Amino acid sequence: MTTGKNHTPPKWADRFLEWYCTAQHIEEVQGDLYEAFFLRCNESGVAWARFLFIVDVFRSLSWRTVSQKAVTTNSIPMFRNYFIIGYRNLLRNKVFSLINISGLAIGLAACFFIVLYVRFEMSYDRFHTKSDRIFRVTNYRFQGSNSTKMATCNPGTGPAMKAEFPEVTDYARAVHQSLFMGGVAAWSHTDNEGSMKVFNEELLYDVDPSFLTVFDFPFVLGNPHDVLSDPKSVVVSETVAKKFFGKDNPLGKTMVLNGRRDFTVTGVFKDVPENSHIKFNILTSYFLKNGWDGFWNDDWDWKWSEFETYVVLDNSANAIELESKLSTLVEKYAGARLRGMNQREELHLQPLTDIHLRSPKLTNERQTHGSEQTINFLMIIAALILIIAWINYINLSTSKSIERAQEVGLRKVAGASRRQLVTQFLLESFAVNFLAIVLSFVIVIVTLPYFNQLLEKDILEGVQLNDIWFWLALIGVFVLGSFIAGLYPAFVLSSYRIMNVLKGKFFGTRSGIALRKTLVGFQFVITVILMAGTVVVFQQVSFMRNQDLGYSKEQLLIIQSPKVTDSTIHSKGLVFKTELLRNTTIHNVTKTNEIPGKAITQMNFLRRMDQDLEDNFLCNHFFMDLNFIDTYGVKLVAGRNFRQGEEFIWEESATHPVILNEKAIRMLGFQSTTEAINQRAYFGLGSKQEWIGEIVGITGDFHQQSLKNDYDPIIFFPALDSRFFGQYVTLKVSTEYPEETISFVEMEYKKLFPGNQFNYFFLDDHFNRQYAADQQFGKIFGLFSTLALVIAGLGLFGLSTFMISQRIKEIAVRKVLGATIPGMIVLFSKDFVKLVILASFIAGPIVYLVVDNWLKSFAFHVPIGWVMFVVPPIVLLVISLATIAVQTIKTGSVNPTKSLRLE
Amino acid sequence: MNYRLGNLEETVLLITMYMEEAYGVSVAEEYKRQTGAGISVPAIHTVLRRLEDKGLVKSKMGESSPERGGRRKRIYVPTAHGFNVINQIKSDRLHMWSKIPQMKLNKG
Repeated sequence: MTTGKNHTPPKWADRFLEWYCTAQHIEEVQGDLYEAFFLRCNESGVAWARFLFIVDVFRSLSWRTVSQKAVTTNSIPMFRNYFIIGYRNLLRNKVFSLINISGLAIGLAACFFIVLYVRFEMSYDRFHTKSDRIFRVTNYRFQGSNSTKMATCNPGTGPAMKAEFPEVTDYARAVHQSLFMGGVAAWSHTDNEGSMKVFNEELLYDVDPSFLTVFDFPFVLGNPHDVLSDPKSVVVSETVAKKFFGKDNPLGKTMVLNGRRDFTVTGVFKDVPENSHIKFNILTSYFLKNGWDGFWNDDWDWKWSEFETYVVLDNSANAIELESKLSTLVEKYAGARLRGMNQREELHLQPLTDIHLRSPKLTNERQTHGSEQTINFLMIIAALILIIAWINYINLSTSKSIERAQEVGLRKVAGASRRQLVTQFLLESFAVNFLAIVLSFVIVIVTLPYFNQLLEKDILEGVQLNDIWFWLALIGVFVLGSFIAGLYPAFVLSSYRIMNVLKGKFFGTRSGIALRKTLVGFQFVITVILMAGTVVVFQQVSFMRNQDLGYSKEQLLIIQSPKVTDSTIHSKGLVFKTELLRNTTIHNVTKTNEIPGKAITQMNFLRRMDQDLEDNFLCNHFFMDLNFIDTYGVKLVAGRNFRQGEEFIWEESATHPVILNEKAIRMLGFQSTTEAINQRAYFGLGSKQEWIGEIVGITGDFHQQSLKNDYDPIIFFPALDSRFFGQYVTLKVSTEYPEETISFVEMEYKKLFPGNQFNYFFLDDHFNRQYAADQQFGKIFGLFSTLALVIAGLGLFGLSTFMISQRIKEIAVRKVLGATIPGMIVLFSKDFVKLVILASFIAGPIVYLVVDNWLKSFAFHVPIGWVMFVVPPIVLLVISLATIAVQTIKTGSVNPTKSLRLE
Repeated sequence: MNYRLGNLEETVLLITMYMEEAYGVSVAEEYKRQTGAGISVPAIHTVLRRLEDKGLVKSKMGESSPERGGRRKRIYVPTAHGFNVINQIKSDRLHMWSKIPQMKLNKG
């Protein structure tokens, strides 16, 4: 038995036994268990003995052995007492508690929203089972000092990659209809009764059949493996199916594209979820299979970088390694040709899940992507708001603790240990935090629809609510928050000296006041930063919306050109134009193949006649009739507009009159417009190389795209009214009778182009849509900064209420001695004013750095001005002064005798 | 006379009859030695307390020892009533045994 003595049974189990066991049985039970333990140590080893000891401790639990003390131990009435006291305290200071809890709840709710949104943004494209193995192939093209980075690549890339590299298990290409249809595609369906429905569809892609197996877009009808195997087949989304066929079975129905091509519906897929980087309503496989009716020959395979290309790698493949091998592929298939043109191309692999948030700036993107920067900003805001809310809690509860000092003193006299007091206040903190979390859930649930509306997205779509990590994180934040926020007040409260407190000699420690001031100052810094951020975002957005674009975007009505056409289209177009101009509210009409508000997709090289190949740069192509410059009010800075009868002639030897914008002139290397006028330049167009253009006119720069982008170089080509319809018809209309004008235009359109959907929009709306994301960011930023301000304001209010209430007597005495209320306001607000000023100075540099960084992502932006440094501190100052003034006036207007008599 | 006892109770009661110091651990050890089946100390405690409730044993506090963590033993000794009950059980059994024909026993 002596050998076993070196070991001991597990302490906690032993303690537990001692805790629950009655005095009557403890001798027997504990003694026997000990004895058995030492016996077993010798017989079967310490570990086993320890284990059995624990088992035995629990087996010894019975009604007989468990003491009353353990069942109704003193701590239970004590806990009950804590809750009662806590509850009474909450009720006694209703305003105070409300501020405390609602401040926390608002902060938590704001945080939840941001977390939901961030998770939504990060959920993009993760619903595909192979999402971690799918890569998008991007194509970077270099020529001289110019580079173009494209989200798309040559049609030959995908097949070649699969053929050359065994680790590429599959590829899929997708090509947006704008490449083969231009603008929009009109789909029509005639039902059995002969009535025809026509809808324009922009989100149409032509894809390889493998597109549906590489990705996992769920199908409602049809098997994704073979629905697109027939080139005459088409698959549509549920919404499109409902639009065309109502409740009928869509399978086997015929849909006609632009009145010319018949397709059979073979499948229906669920609407593409919001969190997909590629969105489509209709898919065909016709054009990729048939090579545009034979128009596309092998010659194009490596010259036509317009195809979204996705590859799937096998499990063991290393993407970085593969990426490094891609240069050999380019060399093998296109090396010679590229060298001939003095060009160089690189292929890159971009993980599918990176596309939405981590894309570099690429051309040929069909969707605007989110930005990691925004996500990071929002996360920081969420953290800041939470910190503000917790600081409030800490501040309010420590300052209030003075009121509870007597309670603490009494508890201590009655024998409460410091640990018990800490437990009590931590418990209270948990309870308050719990109330806040419940309230914040209510806030989130109630306001989620508005939030979704603001974002124009359903953010719950990407969030799996059954995700355990989400809830664990939530609980973690809750526990951590309650603990951190509760710890300091708990220690402050429990550390009071009984004698001082009970004698009533208690005025809060100097270090406590300093800490509280630091915390408030910190809140101020955060608030100032957030407010300054809001100011800048709004300034930038309004700047972008109101900046002179180089043309007048107001009163421009745009109509999409008819898609279902025949040989009479051009003569009808001429009629259309003259008919429209007869209406007095329509001042001007122009037909173009591009309109401002989005990137021009057609482009080719341009260089001066006397320059070498490496001076080539890409220039946007813009076909227009004679009226474009007048209709849009674009400035003609030199030379002339095109003349009547001038037209782009498809003859290589001819010299073509062209108009360039100033940006193109600068990029050509001309010093001035006068130097450039009537000069010649080489330009590329279509599959033919080296056309000669003569610069007959120069337009001022105008914003083809949003102000995020720099001016684009543009080359204008003339088109004859009688032989050109373009993609868009733009009408300059007067401000009067807009509805009548539109219905007039629609009538004319329907009369001349039956079987086409009449689509119209105003240019300013169209253009401003580019700012939707920025406006949204501004709104979200503004919303959350306001929330932060509200929370900080609540805290300030609570704190000053308390501060003043501590100084009621002081105020009374001052008043008796002849102090005025304004004088007292100055006196009491001095500290806060100092804090605001200090906070502003700390916030200033941070604001400058962040704002400067953010504004750099815009080619045209507001200068960093004084407003963003001055307005937020002033707002904060006004709020804090107002709060203190209100409190002081309230307290100061009471008759001093009343407050002094209280003693 | 009510002497309905469970198998375990009967065995434990028997053990207290002849053991010098019958308490939790010693009874558990003896039980194991006699039946070959292990039993936990808390189980023995439960049985002993039940026997005490029925007045078949009585207990007194014994010596403490270091390996018991300084705790004293609770030593159980049978009461006269306990002795009578076990005796009654024994004679009842014997009576029943005597009824078994010899032949059957041999085959056993």
